[in-house]
Amino acid sequence: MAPRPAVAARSAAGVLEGRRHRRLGSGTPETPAEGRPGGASGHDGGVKVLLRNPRREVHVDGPISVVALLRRLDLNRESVLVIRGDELVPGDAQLEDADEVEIRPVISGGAVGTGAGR
Amino acid sequence: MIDVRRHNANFCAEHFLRLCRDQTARAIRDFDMIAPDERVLVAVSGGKDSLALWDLLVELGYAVDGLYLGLGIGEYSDASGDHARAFAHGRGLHLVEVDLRDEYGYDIPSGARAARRAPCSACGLSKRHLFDRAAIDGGYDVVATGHNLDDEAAVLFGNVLHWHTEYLARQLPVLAARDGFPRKVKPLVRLGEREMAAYCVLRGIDYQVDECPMADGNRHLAYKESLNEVERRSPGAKHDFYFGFLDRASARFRDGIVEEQAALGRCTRCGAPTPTEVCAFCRLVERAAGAQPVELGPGRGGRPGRRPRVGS
Repeated sequence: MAPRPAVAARSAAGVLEGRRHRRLGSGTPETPAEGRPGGASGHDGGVKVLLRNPRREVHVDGPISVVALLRRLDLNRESVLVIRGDELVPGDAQLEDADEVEIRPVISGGAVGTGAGR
Repeated sequence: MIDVRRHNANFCAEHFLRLCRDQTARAIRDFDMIAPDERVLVAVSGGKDSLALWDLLVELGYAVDGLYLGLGIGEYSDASGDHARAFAHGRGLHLVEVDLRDEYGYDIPSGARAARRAPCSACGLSKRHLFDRAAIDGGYDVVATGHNLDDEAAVLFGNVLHWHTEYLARQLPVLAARDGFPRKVKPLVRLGEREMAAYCVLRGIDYQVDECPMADGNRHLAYKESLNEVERRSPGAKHDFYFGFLDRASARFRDGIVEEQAALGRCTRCGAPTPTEVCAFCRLVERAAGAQPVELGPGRGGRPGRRPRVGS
């Protein structure tokens, strides 16, 4: 599957392979500042975000809306789900520093063929 | 809570699950996909769409078994099979399994390489042939696949982009049964990919989230991303594109189908319908016979067509 999320996240968080950590503060150059001024609030604080394909983590300063988080990571809302625990998080929800969310890509495919089916 | 922008609404879990059931039931009804007493075989990959489809059809009261094909794509296939088995076992459902390597002497990475096919092409060919055969041998009335709205819109986009009129003629949510072919249906065509993933999360269905390592660079994935960019700016565009095609354009491409069907004979080796003496699946098996397993690279794996590493 084409992890445009992965490609996009690489552009925001640098080229990452495997399980890596990267903090995105409000000063992240690719996007306008969101959330708390000043960016990083210390070691591993902020909203912890798990990304897939490849699996990795980034930390983003909260509070921040889901829509703003996805914009910051250059992800299309139509291509991902945001999951907190076992709950889905809608676009207008606000994420706080202590939150941990997974951004799960939903695009899959490969042998979908031509649609002819036979 | 989930936001579905093309419906311009946020849904609570209960109403979202009801929406998915209603949309599936409507697709089945609108396109005469499955009669209430028919036996259904669901093509199960371990991914979100096929497991959600199996779950939805059971919820709607159909008698459904699953068929899982072991494709031999390294750890990806191992994990996919585990998800399919766990789903079936947890719900007391019957899962039929066919392993390509054990039963036909090849797997997708090595078979694709030996046959000089793109992995997705070899995979699709194998699936179509073996799902047809399993359905007919098992006495099933219909094969159901988890193609969703995004899949169909992306395929339509590709077929229009290149004006594959012969494919446009047959891009339908139902393909009728005929000699040698079971009926094939796509009950998820009214539901998007994001909705199917959400359905699985809300229903506690543990599915294969990782992408197939063979699909990297697949053109249909690029089409999906392009359409999602359109959808982001214009919610509902994918639905309008696909259902507008079915309503207003599909019939215009169907003239060539009858002629093509009349030309089908029987494969001299397996008996499957084919326009050639030996069907494409039997040719793939023949070319892949004895091929050394292709070793997938670390992490996400590799594309054997580009950088194969042949095991010793």
